[in-house]
Amino acid sequence: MSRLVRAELMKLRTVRSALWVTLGMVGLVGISVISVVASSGTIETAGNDRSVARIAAIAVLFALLLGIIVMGAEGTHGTITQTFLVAPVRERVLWAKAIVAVVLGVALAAVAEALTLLVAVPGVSLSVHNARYVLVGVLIASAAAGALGVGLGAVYHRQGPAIITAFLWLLIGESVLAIGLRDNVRYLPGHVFAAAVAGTRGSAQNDLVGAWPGALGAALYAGGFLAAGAALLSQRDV
Amino acid sequence: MIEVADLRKRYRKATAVDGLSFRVADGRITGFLGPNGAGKTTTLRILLGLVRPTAGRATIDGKAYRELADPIRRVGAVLEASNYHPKRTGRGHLRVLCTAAGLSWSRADELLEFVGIANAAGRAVGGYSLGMRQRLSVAGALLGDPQLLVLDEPANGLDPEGIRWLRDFLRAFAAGGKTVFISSHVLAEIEQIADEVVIIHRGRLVAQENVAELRAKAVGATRVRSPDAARLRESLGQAGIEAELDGDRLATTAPAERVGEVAAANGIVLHELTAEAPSLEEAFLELTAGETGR
Repeated sequence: MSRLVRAELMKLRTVRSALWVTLGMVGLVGISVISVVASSGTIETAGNDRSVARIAAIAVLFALLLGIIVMGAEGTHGTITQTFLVAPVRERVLWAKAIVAVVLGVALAAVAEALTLLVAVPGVSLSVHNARYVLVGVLIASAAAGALGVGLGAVYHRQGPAIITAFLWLLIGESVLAIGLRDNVRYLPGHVFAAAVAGTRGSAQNDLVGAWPGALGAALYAGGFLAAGAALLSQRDV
Repeated sequence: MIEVADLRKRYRKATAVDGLSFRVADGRITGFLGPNGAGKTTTLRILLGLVRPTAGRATIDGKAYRELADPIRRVGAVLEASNYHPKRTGRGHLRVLCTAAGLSWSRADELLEFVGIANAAGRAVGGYSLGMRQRLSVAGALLGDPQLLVLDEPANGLDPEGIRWLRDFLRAFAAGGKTVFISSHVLAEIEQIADEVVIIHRGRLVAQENVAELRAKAVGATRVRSPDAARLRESLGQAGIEAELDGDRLATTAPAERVGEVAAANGIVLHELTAEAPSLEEAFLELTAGETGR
């Protein structure tokens, strides 16, 4: 398994997609946190500390994107054939990719948090203590999003459709379902991930579960998508 | 040994492989022939664990590909030359495979040198010609120094020099007691290197024979050039021999001796009388033509 994990890391090192994703995230987090610092005074409430720290949650979306690329790019470029010739037990390949995506998700989250803290602590006196659950939640949610992305990439077998589906779901899908589901909308994936990074016990509007159930839900969604991806991958002709 | 037993593959309404069975012995070069759409690529991909059969089995040493303990050291495969990340370098591609297989990176450099693309090793594969990508595929197949090579149309995109290189390489590979199973539509190439051929059509086995035996079964041709070709054709017709006329040339499937006798008996001058040995291509066309329309 360690060979496969190293090979997956090497695949990312030998092309630039991961670099562009990281730079895109750094740019977006940087712009966001600088805008907040430039337009705000010193933070005076714990709630505001958490709000500013949540800028780092941008990493969750980029971790999802990277997870999809880790799996889906192989189908898009046809390199999955070579991968399966070297490692014909497909589930092992999927788990190796999931491990890499989890590690990269945590790394992206760490970079986003470091950048947020680097700018916001001196800029608006952000309290790391008040924001600690947000920071932990972003790490967990990013790790889960990376794994979920691998599962989604395996389900679609192509990165393009998987990326489009993920973002359409987040932008439109959950909002539409919220009309019919009312309070139950908090169990949908986007809301569960949002709860994981919220750093609170639940929202006042009752549309989010608490942070820890959110983190657990995010992990369950990631596991579910990986299981679905593994089932489809083992049956698929490549 | 490769063994394909009652293999079937259906894609919705289309049947790609239809009860195919054959064996490929170790230590030989076996050609895998069939017209386009005969099911060659599907069969090879099932053998390599990339496609799931609807029924039947395709095994290597009695095991399905995914059951092989260290497949890259047992089997090398050359499939489509398009399966590369266009932004990854040739060296990067091979190093990824080396890492996954637990091989040293120096093996990648050795093989890039061996297949003749070491000077392009640092370039992105997207900029490679089809021939260069085929060579990279061969390098990838050889990483684990396998005992068996499975190649699907490896001559596609290769220039004459590349084809000659591939032919010489496969001969040398097989000379070391290793096995080659190669599909191709370039029958002349297969004829030059294969000991045996497996011919399929519409997903079914048509023939599996030694190349020389198969060629012997095919009907050869006799070519004649004569200043009196039209009269010769008439004389041959009277002797019950059919011939096609093209200017001063005739072609017939009758033996050259018989044609010469008819010409002599009728006092017809011949400028050329050539007995052409039957080719694998003719044998192949005869066998697959008989299957057409089933």
